[in-house]
Amino acid sequence: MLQTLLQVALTGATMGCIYALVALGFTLTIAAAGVVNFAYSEWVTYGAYIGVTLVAVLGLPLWLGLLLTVGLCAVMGYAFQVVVFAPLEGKHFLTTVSATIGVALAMQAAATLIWGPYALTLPTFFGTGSLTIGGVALFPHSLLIVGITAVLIAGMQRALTRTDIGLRLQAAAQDPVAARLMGIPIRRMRTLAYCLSAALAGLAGFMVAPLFVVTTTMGFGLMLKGFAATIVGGWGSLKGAVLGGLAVGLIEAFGAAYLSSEYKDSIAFAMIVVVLLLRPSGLFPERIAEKF
Amino acid sequence: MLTRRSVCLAGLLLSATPLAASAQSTLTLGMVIGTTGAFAGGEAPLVNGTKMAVAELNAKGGIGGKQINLVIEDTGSEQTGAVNAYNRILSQNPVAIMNTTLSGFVLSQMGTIQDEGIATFTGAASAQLAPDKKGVENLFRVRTSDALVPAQAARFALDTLGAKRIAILRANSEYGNGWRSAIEATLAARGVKPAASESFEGADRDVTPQLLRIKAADADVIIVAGDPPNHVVAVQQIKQLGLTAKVILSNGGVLPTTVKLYQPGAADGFYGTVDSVPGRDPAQAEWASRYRKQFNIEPDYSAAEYYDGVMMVAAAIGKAGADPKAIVKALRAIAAYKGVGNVYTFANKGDGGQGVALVQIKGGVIDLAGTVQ
Repeated sequence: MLQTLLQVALTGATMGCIYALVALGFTLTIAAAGVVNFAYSEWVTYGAYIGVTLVAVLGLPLWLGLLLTVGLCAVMGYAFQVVVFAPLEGKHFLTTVSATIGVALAMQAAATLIWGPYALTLPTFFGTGSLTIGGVALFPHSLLIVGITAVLIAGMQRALTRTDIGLRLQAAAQDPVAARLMGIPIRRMRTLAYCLSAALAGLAGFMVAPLFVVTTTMGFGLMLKGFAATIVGGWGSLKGAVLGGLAVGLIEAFGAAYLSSEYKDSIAFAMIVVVLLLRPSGLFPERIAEKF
Repeated sequence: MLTRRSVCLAGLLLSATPLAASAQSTLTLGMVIGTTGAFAGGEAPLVNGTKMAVAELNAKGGIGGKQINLVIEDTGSEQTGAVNAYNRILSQNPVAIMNTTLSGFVLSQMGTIQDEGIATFTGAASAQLAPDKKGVENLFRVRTSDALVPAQAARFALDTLGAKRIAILRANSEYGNGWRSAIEATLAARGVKPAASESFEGADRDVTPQLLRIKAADADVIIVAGDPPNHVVAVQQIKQLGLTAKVILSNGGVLPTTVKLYQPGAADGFYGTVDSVPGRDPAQAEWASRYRKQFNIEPDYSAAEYYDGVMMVAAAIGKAGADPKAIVKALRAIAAYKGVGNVYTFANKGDGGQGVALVQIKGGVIDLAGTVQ
């Protein structure tokens, strides 16, 4: 009984960390540039495909494949800033959202052309075996995901609140006009946010590739859950995105294990509706003081 | 006197003449399939099988001296896309249509299929598509119905594997729910109840909670029904959780392209259902060899069945001409046609394929474990 509970908690936490990783990158562009980037799903997908290309096709070691994937995805984020976001700066919110949806569809079709229609996969860092401690099966790759997410969250929290560039990024996000008057290069800050966001997407794509199957639509389901995590956690809040991701993952797992697998998603989304009814701004909204 | 309008009209007529001639010298074969989106990978072998048959027929002079022009429309792996793609193909006056293998998509096209009367082939397996259910006269199944395959999986579990407690883990879709119904009906006929029946959504990438419930139910055989990505996730997590139950995967789980995705050793010993194994059948060795050479992948039954579908259309046109009604009538007369991927009967409301084979995964390849007609 306790073993099952722990196993479900571990599974929920792993999926929660994956959602959190996705939500973190998704939220970064909202927080830093006010852009809801629906092409984020494809950034995750491309992260996985780039990883497969580097490791399975070119034969690079996994760790090198991971580093290069993250780097190449950061470059993709820069390219996005130049080609998609910069020309749309100052345009209506919906124009930018529509553009990202259009780009996402184009990227999905391009992925089929580049990598073909068949599903692909990546090996894990630690093989396929699992450890069993106290009757609970621990899959090393899942633990790695939990560990990487924890380190990233701690690192990002510190970087955003304790470093000069992090504070500039936050200032640019909260009040671009005031930040510009203070000499902060807004566009450069936004470019940095896009690159970071894309790098996180690449990391998420690479890390989930061995657990999920790499298909052209793999990122969409993840982004949907990441989006839900963003709303539950608090729109635009990095801390909220992480905790929201964990909440969605755990609710899903416990719902499926103890209530019904049939209504797993319904249970998770019903909980989200309840949360939003009780706390419309999410569980952990960004607190911004306004002076009049 | 020639006016500018009459010159333009003459020009248009002249320019249209080669097109008309071209249209008369070829027969259009339509194909409605997902070349992009979630199901593109699963449907790619169907395109391969169809292309292979068309190329072979054209190399032999076509049908009645007319070359076959294959026109493919993408469903985008979406239901509305499937309806729209079917309508787009209809506007090109096809002699027959090789349709998607997604049961839900075919059900949504059913009104149009019936109204237009064009011979339409599908690899969709839902029992709902049988001629005595929601199927129509001009819909031909190049696949074995799910009225037969899951039942055979359940019988295999009971009789060959000696199962006492069978659990079902299936996708929450037309396909997965069809499997559940058929398994439950087969077990009920033998006085057995499923030990557990769990579901997952197609996009789910974690079925650990469902597997823990199955483990708690003390199942000795798990039957998994879903799409290839679902099987990959389920197989990996069954292995990780150390479940000792024997496993039977639905057709998507033992396709050569899916077997390649399993982590080494993870699926060893697992069973699966297929309509046939053309890649391992000595009688189809020559066909399988040509397929491998042309597409650089291992052949599977779904490619072979769409290949068979095109060949049956060609035979029907050769016999009855290119009139849509005559083609449907000729196809409805087919009985026990032995193709590469299956044995088909459409006569007397026949529901197409009748073969079911049980395979076992050994060392990353599939081996025939039994065949049932």
